[in-house]
Amino acid sequence: MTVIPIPEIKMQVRAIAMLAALEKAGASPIEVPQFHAFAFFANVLSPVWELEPVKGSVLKRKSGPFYPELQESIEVLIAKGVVVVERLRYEPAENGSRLAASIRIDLRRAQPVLSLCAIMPDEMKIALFLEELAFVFVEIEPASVDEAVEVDATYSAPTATEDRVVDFAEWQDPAVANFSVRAARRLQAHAPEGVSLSRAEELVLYMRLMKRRVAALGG
Amino acid sequence: MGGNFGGIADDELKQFMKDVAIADDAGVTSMARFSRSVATLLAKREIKPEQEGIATFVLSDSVANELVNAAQGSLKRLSLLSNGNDPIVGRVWIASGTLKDACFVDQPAATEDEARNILAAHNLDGRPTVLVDARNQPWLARLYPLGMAQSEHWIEVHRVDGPLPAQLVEETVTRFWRNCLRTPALTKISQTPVWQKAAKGIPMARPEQRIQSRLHDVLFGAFPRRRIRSEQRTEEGRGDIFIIADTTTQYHAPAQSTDWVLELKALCDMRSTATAVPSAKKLADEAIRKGLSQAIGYKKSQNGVQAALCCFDMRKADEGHASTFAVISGDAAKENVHLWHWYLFRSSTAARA
Repeated sequence: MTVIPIPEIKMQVRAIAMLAALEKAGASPIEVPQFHAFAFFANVLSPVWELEPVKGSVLKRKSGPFYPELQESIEVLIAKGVVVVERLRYEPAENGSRLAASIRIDLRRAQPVLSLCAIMPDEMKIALFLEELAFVFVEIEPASVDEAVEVDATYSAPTATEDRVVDFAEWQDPAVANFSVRAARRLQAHAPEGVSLSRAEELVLYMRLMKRRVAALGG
Repeated sequence: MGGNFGGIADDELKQFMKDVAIADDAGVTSMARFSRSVATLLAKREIKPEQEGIATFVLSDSVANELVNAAQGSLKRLSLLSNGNDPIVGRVWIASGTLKDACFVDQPAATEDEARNILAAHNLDGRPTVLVDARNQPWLARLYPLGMAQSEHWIEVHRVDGPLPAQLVEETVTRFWRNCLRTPALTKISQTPVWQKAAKGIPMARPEQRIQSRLHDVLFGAFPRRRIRSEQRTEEGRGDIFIIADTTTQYHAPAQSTDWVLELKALCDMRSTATAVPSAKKLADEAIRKGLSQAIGYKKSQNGVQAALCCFDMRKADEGHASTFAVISGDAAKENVHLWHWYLFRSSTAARA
């Protein structure tokens, strides 16, 4: 019998939950780099929903955020048939070309996992958070998703330089280092009189701010 | 307090909040989003050439799965249906809540019954559906939250810009009660049931908040041209639900008008801890008096056009409208506050009696 370490199972379950949320929002199939971008927002904004991020740091690369453990999970899930590769093509990269894949979840195969998650309160809370995030994430044009990460408060902080790890909760105190959550919560201070923002509203407004910042980049 | 927000300046956050509307779509269910997405699509399609007929939109958690499950070639996929560039009438659509991803089959229906039969034939009649009647102008839309097989459960999607008459709002809340609250079985359908043990009259903790969140969802889907705000702070406290219209002033500046203030009260004679509420009648009267005073206060502070006190009665005996509101009916009439009452049956048998 193969023993799978718990962190790997957790990562696979989270990958399934994220892809299911994107599927529900009509945002799939999704290019793998865009999926990593979604995972970045899911991590950095999870404290808005009072959830722990799965990963408290990310390597800031020119080509966008990338989580090796998540990628490994996706590949395992592809092998299991839970994640389907819809399109595969070569695209230009720094050193020649690379394989670019669009993926989606196969809900029939993922159903046993999702059904189990649906009766676990913590997983239900995560699913609600991811659904809320997916429905607003889909408002950003797929081609602009990388830019949306670039303009994120944490990712674009002056201290976050390229090819360095952006740490917002790994070793750093998230209350100090997670600028995205600080900015999302700060929106309340500027809300019209009488308006109390819910966590869902903070999340949605923050993502719409990202969309607006991306649009501003385009002039 | 300023503070450090990494790559974003506080002034930018401030300007953003000045420029955008508060996201009233945050936290609503995918079904409510779906209803609103269809309404937005109708506004785009109604002004373009379309045949007369009926269109049905069925909500799907996975359009890709629909295509896998369907017979080869029977469904055609269409991305970005939400853009409004494709004819919609005469088709059965299976779509995501955002309408970003969809597939369809050409199957014209001349009547609602025919549309229902078509969905049944495709085994789609148990899924949330919006039926669009495009036989006459303006087009009409109706949400069937439990699917068209349960045709008695529906909510009209009101795409009106003008004032919302009291009858329309009362009918919508009544439909909500009929679809979601009337019997214990109905209250269990959502993730926020209101009864713990209905037969014994034991409510879940804070039933009023649960009803409020579900009603918010229904109103969001039913009034796509309005913003629905819950728990808005005022000098008098937090208003339960405000129905707000975006408008412009005579000087063309953006403005808001609070069309409706809805103050909700859940009347119980048992607590969630399974103990009886002492002096339940007295407490209910106090809650109703407080509710009226809040409705009046919010209406004044928000310049509300209309206000209603909505009582969801979870007590053992249904006292009826007149007796429930006896202590405030005179004051409510003077202040033009509508008094609405719905009774939550403790069993389906009682509801049928």
